[in-house]
Amino acid sequence: TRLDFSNEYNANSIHAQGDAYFIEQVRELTDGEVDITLHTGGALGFKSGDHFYAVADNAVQIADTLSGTMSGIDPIFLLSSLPFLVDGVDEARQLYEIARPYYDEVFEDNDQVLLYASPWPASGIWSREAVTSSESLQNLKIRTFDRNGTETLRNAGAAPVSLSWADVVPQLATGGINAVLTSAEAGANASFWEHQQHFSGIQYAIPLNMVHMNRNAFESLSSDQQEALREAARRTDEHNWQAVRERTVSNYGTLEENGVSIHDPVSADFQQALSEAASPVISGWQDDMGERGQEILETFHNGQTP
Amino acid sequence: MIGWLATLSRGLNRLAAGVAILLILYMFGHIILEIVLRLFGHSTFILDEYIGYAVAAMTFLGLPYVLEKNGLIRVALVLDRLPGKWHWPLELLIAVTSFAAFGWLSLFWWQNVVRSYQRGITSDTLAETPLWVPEGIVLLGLWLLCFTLVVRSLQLVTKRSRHTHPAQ
Amino acid sequence: MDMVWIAIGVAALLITVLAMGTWVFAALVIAAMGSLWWLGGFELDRIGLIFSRILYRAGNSWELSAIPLFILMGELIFRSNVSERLFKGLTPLTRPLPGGVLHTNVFGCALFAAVSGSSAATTATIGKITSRELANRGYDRDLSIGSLAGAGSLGLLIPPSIVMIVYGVQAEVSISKLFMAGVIPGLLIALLYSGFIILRSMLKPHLAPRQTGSEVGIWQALTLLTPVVALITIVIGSIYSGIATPSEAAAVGVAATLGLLALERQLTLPMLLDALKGTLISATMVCSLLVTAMLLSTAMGYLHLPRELAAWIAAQQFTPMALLMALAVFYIVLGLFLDGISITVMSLPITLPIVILAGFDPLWFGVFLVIMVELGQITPPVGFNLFVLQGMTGENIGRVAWASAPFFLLMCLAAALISVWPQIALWLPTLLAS
Ligand code: NA
Ligand code: NA
Repeated sequence: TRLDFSNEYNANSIHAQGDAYFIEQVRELTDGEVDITLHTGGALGFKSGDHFYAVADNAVQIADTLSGTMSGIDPIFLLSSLPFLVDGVDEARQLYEIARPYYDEVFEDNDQVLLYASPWPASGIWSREAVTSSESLQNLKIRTFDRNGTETLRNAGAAPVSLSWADVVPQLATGGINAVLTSAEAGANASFWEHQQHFSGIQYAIPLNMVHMNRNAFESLSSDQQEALREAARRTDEHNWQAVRERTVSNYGTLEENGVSIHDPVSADFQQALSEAASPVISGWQDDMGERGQEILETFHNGQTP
Repeated sequence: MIGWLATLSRGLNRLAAGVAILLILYMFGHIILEIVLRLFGHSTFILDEYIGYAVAAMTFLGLPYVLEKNGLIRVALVLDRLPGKWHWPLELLIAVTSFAAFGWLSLFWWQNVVRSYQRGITSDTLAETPLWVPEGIVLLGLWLLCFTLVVRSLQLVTKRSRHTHPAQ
Repeated sequence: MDMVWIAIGVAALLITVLAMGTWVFAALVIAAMGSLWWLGGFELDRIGLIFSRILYRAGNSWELSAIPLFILMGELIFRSNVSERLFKGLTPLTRPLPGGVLHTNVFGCALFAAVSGSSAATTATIGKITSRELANRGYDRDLSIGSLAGAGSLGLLIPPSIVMIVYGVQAEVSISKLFMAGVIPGLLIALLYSGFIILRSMLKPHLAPRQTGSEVGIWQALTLLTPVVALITIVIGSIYSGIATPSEAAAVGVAATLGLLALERQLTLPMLLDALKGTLISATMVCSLLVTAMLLSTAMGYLHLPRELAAWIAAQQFTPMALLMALAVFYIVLGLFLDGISITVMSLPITLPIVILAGFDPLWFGVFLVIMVELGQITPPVGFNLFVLQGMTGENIGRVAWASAPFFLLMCLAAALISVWPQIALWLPTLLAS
């Protein structure tokens, strides 16, 4: 069986590498019977925002999708990018495992199977001048990547700007913006150090990508093959949560080699101020989500594991 | 009957083209507004989202009008070498296959727009735009294009002559 | 090899539909759908689901907005006397140079490339400004069209450049360094083009008649150039001061043009409406082609065509120079049918690792790849600069392509030069980094 797998990221990205790992596992477990082709860089023409219904309609069988881009379909997809909810990879994974049944349900209702998640390294602030206090955030022209970030940073006194990723580097080079909210990883891939000398590891969020598959395509596989895919997905989930830890360490190494000052952790005062700026965003999300949101957050705050 | 359809199609195409021109002006205005706002540390936050919708809408709303005005390029190598009496069947074949392709695509896009509407799907941005609106405008453009091609085919069949000389 | 037959099948289908006389935008859609159905064995329903979504996605693109806005800028200038004054001013200045104001195409495009990231916008804008004036002055049409097509593609090599950004993101190469690396190769190509125009005009003087008539002095000539210089300065200035992003520069260009024309009392409502109507026609033509060309790319992606051809090259164990030759052929063949961004994202996952393994600098390879992509802009059957010029001049695509052929060969020569002397590309970024 030949399957196509769409992904918007470059071949060296943590997501594409996780997907390649999954494909390799499937190949091994099925003795090459299930042959999946990964199309990186959006080579099939789909962007993350197209994936949900492209997979539901079986236009493409598998896709790796930034969770937040599906938030217009169901607000649960904003969970992993809620600001300052988790303080590290352990908590992010815990939150994912608590929410997994809810994610599964949304995909199931739309003729899809959720295979595994692919976490991003934690987002922080890249900047020209050090951003280590609330004062240094005042009126800072900072590029954000979603509406949660825009609201949170506006609450914290910054001047968030929305720009397409292609415009970010030219704007950094010319000083049109002074800072970017993103991971050390994404900044390193775009050589941000040519224009930005500071990275504040504020642990903004550990957003997830979801890898989902069309259910008909899944069910038309033999039951052995289906089990093989599930097993490969379990292994890849494990692999990805490990990889994100390693990436964070190796990214910080790369930043140091390139003369970027890393501020991690930032002062407790600053962290506290940021959390306060985020709390309306989180409660707004809970309102949108109703009961489901409450259940997830309660379980998470009570420190229970599912 | 066909004359009446042709008049209707021309009128609708002109209307759509007018909207497309307004969209060009809108793109200009919104980008300038964003540049000015950014100077003062503000943003509309929806620039790339709405300009994206506008580009798609302009393209598909403008398409039927520009087709009608012979503004779309084609390779006339065969047409120009063919004896005159063969022109209209070939033109008909071209119009029908183009209609089949775009009609087929608009059928599936229609289902998608209906789904976006029924489920209330919105964009993932601050604007939370209902997606059926920009998607529906593109659908409208596709329908107008199909209608233009149908009218053209009918005219070719009834007049049995090359409806319009290719622009090139 | 199966893939070769599939490739031939796609090509045959597209060429048949095009040759029938189908509008190019519709031919791209029909060929894309037909390829998946006939060669990929896809069901018609699935084809409808795939391509209806891609059609919307490809149109819904913020970067494309530069096309209508730059075209509007060109239409406004075309309807004022700015371009006429530009040529009056340039005529005495270029008199000693064989080819005269024909060089405006080359250096106009090179200069405009510094504000526009796309080649279609560069060709359309400069072409609108120069082609009428050049025709009025009796310059050879082929030389005029060919130099526009060739130099228009410099929009991709001279920064800012959309293709370079895509390459930088995919290959994890610094975009700023890529931009710098494109400058000297871009100027080199411009010089090759100018040299060719000089040579042709010296061998066949009737191609570029010596301009006679009203003499203007050097100072008056410079005054005549002021409006265009002011426009270019404002737009370039807005990008390099950080006021506008490269994607927004087109709107700045329209604003500056409107301001200039208003200041000179050349702006009237009928003229503005006329310019907008002209813009709609050209912009719809160009954008619809860019959008429908994505469908063909998607079809190629689903057929796994580019990646398997690249994988075949990767498996051949070529020596570095042979590898480069093979890749050049590969990219020129892909460039016949696909747009630059698709070529880049589809091939890189396979070609980049083998290129690095062979010891090439990924920064250098970015420049090489962009030149390959530029070549694709001027090769039929799918060549966007050819389409733009066909729409603008009314000449058939065969003639436009033939007129562009010498410029295609000169660009191949430039690719060869930077392969032999990689420093042409790498010198500037190295200098500025230290
Ligand atoms: Na450029
Ligand atoms: Na081409």
